[in-house]
Amino acid sequence: MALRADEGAEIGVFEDLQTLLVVVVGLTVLVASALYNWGVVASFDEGQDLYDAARDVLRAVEAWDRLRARDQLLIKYDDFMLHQPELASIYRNRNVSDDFAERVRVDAHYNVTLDDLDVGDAEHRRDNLTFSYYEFGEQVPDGVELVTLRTHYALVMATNVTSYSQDVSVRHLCLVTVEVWR
Amino acid sequence: MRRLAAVRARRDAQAAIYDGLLFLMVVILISVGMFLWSAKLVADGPAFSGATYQDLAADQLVTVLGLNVGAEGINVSCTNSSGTFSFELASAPNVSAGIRTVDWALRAHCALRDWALWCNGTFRAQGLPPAVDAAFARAALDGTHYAWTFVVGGEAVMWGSDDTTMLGEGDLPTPRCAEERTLCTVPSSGEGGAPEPLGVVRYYLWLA
Repeated sequence: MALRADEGAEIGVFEDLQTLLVVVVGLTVLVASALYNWGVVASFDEGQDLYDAARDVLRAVEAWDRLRARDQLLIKYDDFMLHQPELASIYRNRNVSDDFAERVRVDAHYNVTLDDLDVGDAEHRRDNLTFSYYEFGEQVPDGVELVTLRTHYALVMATNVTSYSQDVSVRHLCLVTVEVWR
Repeated sequence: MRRLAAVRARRDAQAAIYDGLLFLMVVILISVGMFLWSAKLVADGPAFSGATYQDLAADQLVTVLGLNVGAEGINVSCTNSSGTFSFELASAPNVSAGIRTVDWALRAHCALRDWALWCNGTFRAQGLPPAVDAAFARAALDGTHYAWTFVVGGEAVMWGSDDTTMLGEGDLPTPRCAEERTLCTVPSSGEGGAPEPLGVVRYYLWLA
């Protein structure tokens, strides 16, 4: 003990000041690099969330039974195709009851445009129920970082024949564009 | 005694320095590992996952099968022992009535094959593959390429792609998403029996 006292006093549980310094420097390097990398990964995850949200919007649309097309006898198809009369009804009444926003909820702002590629923009008239596109969600603000996802759905242009049957022979190609931002 | 103590102290000091360096080296290795891991994770930035593209491929296949096919211009030439006859696809022998979609057109091809087998004849429907391919081409997504095949009895009877370098499935690039749908017979109501497979439509999608 007397010898140790000659070499230098113990510092806590550490044998000497030099050991304490090495441990402190080492832990500082570890903590600093962990914090930095954690920040990098966290910001990456935040960006990735937008991509996941865009996918979630599409899945929410496909999970909405009201939009699922029905066959001649009004039985829903197994595959997801859009039922145009319902889509038009939701679009027409969107200012009265925003069913789309209530049904399609994700943790981000979004805009969904369903563009009927078989109806020209010039023919788009709300009064005679001819729609070239159906737009839901918020307007995209300027300068935001957008994530865009596009796919197609078949749009079944159903027209009633009787109260329990309909004509579903006409199909349009519908381009669905989902835009998501924070 | 004092010299011995001094030598011991010097050795202890050297050992402490080496221990310290070893410790720092381990710390630096761990730290570098963390940097490499996070750099690898974020190398390409956020992106749509493979599952998203797989879902898109499934959506595309379902959509195209549900689209109208321009059946009016498709002529079928049927030959059997009675002679050669020409029909529009919708009124060709064995072809059932239905909504004229791509799904219907592919089933019509199978119906014509069955007819040819049944009456030992042949048929030609040259306009059918381009009409089906036109529907796939119309629904192609920007920034992606596609290919499709219709396989009946193990034989690819129709195929198409927007990439003319694609000659067979082996030529398709990776990574790609593949989706397939087996078209089956629809038993008439009250007839019973299990649906039988007619053919398989395969759809491939990859990034341009």
